[in-house]
Amino acid sequence: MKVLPSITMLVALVFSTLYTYAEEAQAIDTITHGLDVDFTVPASWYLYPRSQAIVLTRDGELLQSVSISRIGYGKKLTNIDRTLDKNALVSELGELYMQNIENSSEVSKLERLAFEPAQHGSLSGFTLKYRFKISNGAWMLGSLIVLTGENYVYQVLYSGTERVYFERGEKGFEAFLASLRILKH
Amino acid sequence: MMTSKSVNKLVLTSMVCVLLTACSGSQIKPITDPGYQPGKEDARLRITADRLSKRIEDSRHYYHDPEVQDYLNRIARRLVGSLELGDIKLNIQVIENPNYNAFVLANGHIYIHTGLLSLIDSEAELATILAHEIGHVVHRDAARAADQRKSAANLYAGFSALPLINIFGGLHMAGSISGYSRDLERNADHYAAERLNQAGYNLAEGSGIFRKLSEATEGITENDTPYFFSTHPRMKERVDSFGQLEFGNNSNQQKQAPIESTPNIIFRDMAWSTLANYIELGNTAQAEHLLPRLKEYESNNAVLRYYEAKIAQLKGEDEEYRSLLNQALALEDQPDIRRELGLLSFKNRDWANAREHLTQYLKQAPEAKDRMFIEAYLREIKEHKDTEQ
Repeated sequence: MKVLPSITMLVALVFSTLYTYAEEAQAIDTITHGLDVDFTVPASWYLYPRSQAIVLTRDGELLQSVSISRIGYGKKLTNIDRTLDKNALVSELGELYMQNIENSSEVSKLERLAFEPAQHGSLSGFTLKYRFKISNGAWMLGSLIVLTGENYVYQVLYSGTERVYFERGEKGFEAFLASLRILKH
Repeated sequence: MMTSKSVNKLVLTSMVCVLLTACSGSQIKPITDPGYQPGKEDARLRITADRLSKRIEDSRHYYHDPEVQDYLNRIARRLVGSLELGDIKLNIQVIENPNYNAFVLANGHIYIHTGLLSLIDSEAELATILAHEIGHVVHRDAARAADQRKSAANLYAGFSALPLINIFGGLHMAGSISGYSRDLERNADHYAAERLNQAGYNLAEGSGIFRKLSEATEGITENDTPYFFSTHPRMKERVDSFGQLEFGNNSNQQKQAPIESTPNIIFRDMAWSTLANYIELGNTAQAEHLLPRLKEYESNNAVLRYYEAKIAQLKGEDEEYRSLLNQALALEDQPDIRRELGLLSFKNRDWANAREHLTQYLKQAPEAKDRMFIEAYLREIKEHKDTEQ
């Protein structure tokens, strides 16, 4: 009788959606998450909701991925001891994000490629395009879109290896971005 | 069931093993000992160290300045006679990192952070750091530590792995090198005191670096900011311990002239970039600690006023921020100062000043990375001015 709980667990696992979630996500047209966003998962992409962010990838997270997350004003960025000031101008926020990326333990040889204003729906912000090397040596490209809301700053990052994968996922990323709606900001 | 007898037996066996471990550690002869023979462990550690050195020297954190490196190597040579110690060649290098740290790898490469060099006032202080690190090389402490860890691992399966060495990265990771055990650190101190004395340095002056570090790291927990010799013995204990050595050697006089009488001049550029780094990282306390040192070099300098203004901004002192920026501008018309004043005026809806400063900024820095944003602000200012008229 001792095997009964194990069998029950096995059956529950087989019929649960827990580990087939990524595949199922493709079948759903739009998804709304705890981040108060709504978007369509691009064809052939997979979705991985995390505690602080939603990650989407076509070929695997290490090769190329999109992540969306948000930070409340007054909170610190991850790599520097600086907080997001609600009164900061968009260009000042951009500098702060650049310093944050520069001080990431994963990033070396950072090159800024473009820094320009961005608009997404009613939200304004900036786009920061950059090139960097990660610790295992691969050159990567990153495209960070930061949008400032009333209570939160939303961050959408698309990154991928400079060779092959960034370009390969770019259309998917554009489709994702076109479908993205920020519901509460 | 284990009886108390068998438990006692196990404890006894463990104690014997610990004793054996201690004995095996003492079999590692210093590199300067006539009977010294490098072991397999040394070779393995050096291969790993070479790989890490390459990573450091290829990274953006590597501070390449032949003049500085040459000076550091000359001090090392004065301390030990030659850079070649047994089959190891000492090589002193600098890492661009604002944290107070220095460390040595098993291949004889000693790395000092720019943050630590920014605190240096005398050559004796610098020689103290180098002599301590050379002490680790001479005593083969990397092999000793590895030996101890291996023996401990035999006793306790799953014992913690080698301390992760990662000098790359930001606030928390950079330079976070675990120190050696308390005894090994103390032995390195003894070695340092002996070498400093031999080389004619003033020990009391040299140990001043520990007092400075103690002050500079006051209120900073070890987890927040790793710093030189952060683990064992604790900084206070180290200050006391070195103080005792000073008196023991009774040699608190400089017996020979230093190679450079004002090493702080050599490290001045580093101190400036370290200050900029502290501000960038938001380390207000450390920036404020370093600022008076830079004021000693140049008290009436636009860049210095600008950094003072940035510190005031970090502290949320808006009036002070504006006042210092204006002082900086009066000293020298620079694009960064114009930009800050322009953005500050823009946020305060002081359109006339915002327009003037931002226009000047774009004139002075036509290739500015934030040009698109500044142009957008100028358009907005024009709209406001038109509406007001």
